[in-house]
Amino acid sequence: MIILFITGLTLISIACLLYGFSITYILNHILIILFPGALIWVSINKYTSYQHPLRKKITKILSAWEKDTGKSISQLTFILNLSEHHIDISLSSNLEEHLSMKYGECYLNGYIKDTGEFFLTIAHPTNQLLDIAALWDEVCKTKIKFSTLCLCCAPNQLDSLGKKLENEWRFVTKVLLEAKRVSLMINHSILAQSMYYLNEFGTLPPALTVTPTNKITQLYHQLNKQLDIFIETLFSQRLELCNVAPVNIEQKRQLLYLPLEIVNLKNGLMSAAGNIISAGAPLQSIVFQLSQQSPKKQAFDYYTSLSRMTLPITVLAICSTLIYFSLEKRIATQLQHLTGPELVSYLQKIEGKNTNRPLARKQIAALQLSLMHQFPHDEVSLYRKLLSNKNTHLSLKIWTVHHITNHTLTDNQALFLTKHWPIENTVNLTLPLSQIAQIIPSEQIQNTCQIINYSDINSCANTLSKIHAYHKAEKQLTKIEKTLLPIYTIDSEYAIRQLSYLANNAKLIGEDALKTLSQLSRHLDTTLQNRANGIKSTIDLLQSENGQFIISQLLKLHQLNNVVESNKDAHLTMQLAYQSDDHPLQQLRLVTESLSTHNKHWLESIFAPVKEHLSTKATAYIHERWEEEIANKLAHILNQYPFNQDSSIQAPASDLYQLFGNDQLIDTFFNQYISAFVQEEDSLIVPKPLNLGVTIPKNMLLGLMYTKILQCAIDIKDNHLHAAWAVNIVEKTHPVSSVKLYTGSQSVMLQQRESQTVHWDSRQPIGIDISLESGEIINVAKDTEWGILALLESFTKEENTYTYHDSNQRWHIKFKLAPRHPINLLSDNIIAQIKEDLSTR
Amino acid sequence: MDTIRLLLPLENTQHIDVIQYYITCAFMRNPSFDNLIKLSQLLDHEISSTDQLSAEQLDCVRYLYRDWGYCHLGEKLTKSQEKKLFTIDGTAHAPGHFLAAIDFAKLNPKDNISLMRFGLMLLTHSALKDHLTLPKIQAIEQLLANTEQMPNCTYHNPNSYKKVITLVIYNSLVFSYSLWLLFHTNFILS
Repeated sequence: MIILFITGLTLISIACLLYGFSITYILNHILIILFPGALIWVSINKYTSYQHPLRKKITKILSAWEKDTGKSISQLTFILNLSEHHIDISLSSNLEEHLSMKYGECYLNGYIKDTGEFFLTIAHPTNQLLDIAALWDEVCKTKIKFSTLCLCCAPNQLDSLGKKLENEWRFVTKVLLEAKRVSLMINHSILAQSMYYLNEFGTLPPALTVTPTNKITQLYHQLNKQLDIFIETLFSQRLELCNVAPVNIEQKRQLLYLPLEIVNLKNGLMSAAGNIISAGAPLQSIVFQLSQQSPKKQAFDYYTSLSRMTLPITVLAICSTLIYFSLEKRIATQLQHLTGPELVSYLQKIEGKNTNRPLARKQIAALQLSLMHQFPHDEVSLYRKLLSNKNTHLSLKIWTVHHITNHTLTDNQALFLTKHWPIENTVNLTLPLSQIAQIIPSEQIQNTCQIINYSDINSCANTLSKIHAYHKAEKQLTKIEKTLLPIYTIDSEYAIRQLSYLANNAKLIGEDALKTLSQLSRHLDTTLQNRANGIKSTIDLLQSENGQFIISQLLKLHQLNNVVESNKDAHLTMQLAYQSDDHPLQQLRLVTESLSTHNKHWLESIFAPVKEHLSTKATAYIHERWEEEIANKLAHILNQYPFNQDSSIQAPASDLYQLFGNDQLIDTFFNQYISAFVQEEDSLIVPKPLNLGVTIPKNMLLGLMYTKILQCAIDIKDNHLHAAWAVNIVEKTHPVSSVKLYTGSQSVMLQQRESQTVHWDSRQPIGIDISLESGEIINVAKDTEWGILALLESFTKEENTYTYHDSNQRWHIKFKLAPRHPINLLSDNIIAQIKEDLSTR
Repeated sequence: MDTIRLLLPLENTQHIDVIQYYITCAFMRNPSFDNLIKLSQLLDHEISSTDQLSAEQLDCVRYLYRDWGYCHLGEKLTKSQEKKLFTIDGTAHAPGHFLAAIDFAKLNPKDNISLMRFGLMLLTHSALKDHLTLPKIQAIEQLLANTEQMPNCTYHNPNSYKKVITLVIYNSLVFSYSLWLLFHTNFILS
């Protein structure tokens, strides 16, 4: 304790020194005083213990034994014999008594086993605990360290051991608690004698072991199991032991009784062990004889050390596994960022290590899957068939891998992928031979036919070769067609130079193509021959005057295209193309109409890129202008009344005029940007049938159409709206006497047989006065921009007639409105249709 | 003490062997006529349900025990007591044929192993003179040695280390394998 205290102080002092605390000074002085004092105290204590007579005697005995036998003392055991019986060492083999002393009434004996184990026993004939405690104090003073404390009890003490340890044997409990290792010994003369014979002439089981446990039930289970085996072992030797051992009749009987005795002791043993453990003592074994083999050196220590290793090793295993998984995840993440050859190269590296095979295989499978995803399903079935069949020729497999990876891998990498392609025997090939022939190179046809399970390999190869040759010729013809007029259609500047040259060297056109065609002619079937003839006719056309005209027009077209920089330029060019017959696009279009089908398609393919380029830009320009000039204003108006019935804002006449008025925004837009591309057909605006690519969006065409309709339905002025209707009463019931319609200053008394003209002005209120016979006048009026529409909403409409009902349904009036304009604003539901059609932008 | 406490730890032993051991010990500790009758009845009851012995062997076991106990009794029995003791399944037997009964067991050693082992136990603790019993004991030992393997009295360590050892070895292997994997994985990453 003192040493620990000083060590603690020293550490505090060092810590204070390191951190520069002022307390260091005081602590150092305390240490200076305490340290020598502690040293002196420890030295005196040690010296006193060495000078203790008992220690001297024991040391002398042990030294003498060591000197005589040449062995060393291996273990010291202290036996506290409370059984009130002397331990008969004559029954313990290889045990010699070396010390026999009496201390007061107590006996002190020392025994040494031939294995070097020293036993020191203390006992009192009548168990006087005070005397035993006094002797124990003396033993403590010797400072001899015993590895085990053995509590020796008689069988009849076992049942009451718990109570004794709590009461009169409390001193023993204290001693037991100080020990690091405790064993319980059962001392009984007859039992010991039987055990002796068992040890000498049979097999004495080793001591009962008690493994550390916090649960008494576990302890009982352990001991019960061991005792059962103990009893079974004794029982199995009962006959042989009685006959072999040179014993008298009584001893024979005791030997026979031995299993029965242990059965009787069983409960007492378990109870005693439970009580010792409950007291907190580290009980580790139960023995019946001093010489009984103790398992502590062999099994127990082994077991304990293994048990102690279990947790750290488990934790280490878990940690290392988790670290490995995190690293594996890191590799997987790394793999996700790699593609193509880098990925395959990395996978090759991983696969080379056995450790990462599962990871590599998973990634390889993912790569294979992703490679296949880029192809149509039918095509995939061919590649899977070729790669997953173990009989596929290696060169075909490598070609397939190169093909699906777009020839980005090296041969070594392709070989790696083929090796790791999963083998499947049931791939269903859905790709027809005609398509297989287009994919497979000619040198792999034979190998392919061996795999695709065609009925006859030769027939398959023959068919594939023919199809292959056909497609090869077809490709060549397509190539000729494309290069017949060798111009770079995307870049007009380059095309102009090419066309200028061709215009001056028309005879050179098709020279090489004709040679190729003559070579091919022998291998061509009827279809391809027709196509070849078409190409020849195109060459003839190009070499003719007509061909010269085409080239000159193409040259002009590219010259025009070359100066087009913006969408506006393109729009202007396309406007000219739609309006002028001399425009090269129009000229080329007209020429194509006079050509044969083949030549027509060929020529169209030549100038189509320029046409599409110009028309796309022109269309985009129209869009831009619509968005900038019209779209926002139109959306604003459509969001107001009457176009939006739910809106409380009335669309003002000035806004309507600005947009839909004569020669206003939409009219101007039409004239400026669209009119060149459209024409009127049956009062509808439709695109001109010139097929030059400019397309006018439907909402623009509808916008134009509704502008015309609105202009026909109402007079749209810059500050008001005007419309006129002929109105007359159709029916009025009692007690209505007269009906008067008024708008602004105009007032019209409605008649049944005579129509009256009513002028609606958006600036004036509009209303109706219904006079009853009683003299009562009912007035319905609206004073808003669109008052006419608001007023008529309170009437029931039926075609051109409007009915007003009394709130109590007692009377009604019905009148008719006939428009004075070509289109009736009221009856044709124009407003709702405009909103619906033009809101979609 | 009841037989149950003895039978529990010896559950792996043949039931009849345990009963024979129990009645032998119980009689020797209290050698009286009444105890002999009581233990004989216990023997009769316990072996009645066994199918390991034939009727003849059962009768022999019963007679052996009765006659062995009879020899041990220091007191002289009355005729009625003798009759009560030696009437087995309604048939009265005469005392004094203990050794003859042992000889019966020796006639067919292979089938009478259990009988001979019981006889050997009774002979070892017999009240008869040594010169009568010792030759029989030696003969039975010889016969038993020739006909059966003596039961092993090997003690097996009750502490089962298998689970702990398995756990330690398993986790050590997992740890080593993980380290090996880590080394290789790191190599790849580098």
